[in-house]
Amino acid sequence: MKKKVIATLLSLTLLFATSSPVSASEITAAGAGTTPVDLTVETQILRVTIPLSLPITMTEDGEVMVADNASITNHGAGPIKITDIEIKGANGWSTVDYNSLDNASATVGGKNVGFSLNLAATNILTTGANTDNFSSGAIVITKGQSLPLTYDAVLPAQKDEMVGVQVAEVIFTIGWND
Amino acid sequence: MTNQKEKREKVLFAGLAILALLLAGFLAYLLFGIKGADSTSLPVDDDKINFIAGDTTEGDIRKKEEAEIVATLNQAVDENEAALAFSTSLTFADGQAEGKFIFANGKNNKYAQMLEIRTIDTDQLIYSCGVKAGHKIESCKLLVDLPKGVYDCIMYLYTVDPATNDRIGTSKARMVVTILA
Repeated sequence: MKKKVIATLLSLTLLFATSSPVSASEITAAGAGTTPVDLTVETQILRVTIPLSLPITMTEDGEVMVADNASITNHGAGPIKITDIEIKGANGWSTVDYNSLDNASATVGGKNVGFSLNLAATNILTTGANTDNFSSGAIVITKGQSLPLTYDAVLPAQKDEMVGVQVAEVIFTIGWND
Repeated sequence: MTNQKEKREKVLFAGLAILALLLAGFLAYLLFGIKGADSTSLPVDDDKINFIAGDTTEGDIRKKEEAEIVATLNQAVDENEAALAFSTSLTFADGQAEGKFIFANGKNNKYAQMLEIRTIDTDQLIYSCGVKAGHKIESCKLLVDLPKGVYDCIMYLYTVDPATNDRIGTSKARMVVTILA
């Protein structure tokens, strides 16, 4: 009798020792289980490289020349969108309609500038004082994309030499493409 | 009669002489007069004109080549790019609590950034901070005790020349500020 009791205890010990510990909550039906998929999103960082200067040179002959390497680059976690572009005059200069200012006849020394930008085949032109024709949310820059930014300006010939005088500022408003 | 003939011959001779002189003068004008209009052939009396040594050089005004100008402009663009990184969603336990906000002004950037976060609805300034190139923000407290709610905001990024404190540009970013309680 004593041997039977010991044998039974040993059998039970062996049974519990070899069983896998399964939580009752993970079983929904005989032989089935669920595995939760938990998402942790770390703070998403919008990383962008933007030009802080769009320089213009007017030559001795009144020809306007601009840089050809400006771009906006998205290094962030996902696509971004330019939701607004504002072009404003600065330091006593006024923006005017890009298509109306004629360098050949404009009064010499006038502080007016017409400005145009081209991003992803979207052409943005100044249309008057601090106004332009940009329509909101039109330009998306995908993750890793570098979007070339070309620009041009028209302005009257100037009598006085200038070096690095800011005549306008371009303000980009950027956000996620959500 | 003879006298009259001699007189007539003298007049004719005089007329021919005048014509010859006029012709000679005309030829001389053609040969020397036009050439004389060229300033380089004018006799220059160096003693009467003050040629300032060092102020003048030989040649015409030098025009820069287009490629030379564009290269200078491109260099200006390269030197003035800004690499910016920031979070666009800020959450605070309450209006006075400190919350996580990440902003980095790249170490290779030339300029400082002056940040201002404003609510879109009321244009209320709720945060402001200057960040030098190579510096970052990891948390912040708002300037005002905003009540519980979700606020659509604009972050203004004013580019500032640290040498002069002049503002040289502006960018904007959309963001959302959430106050939990």
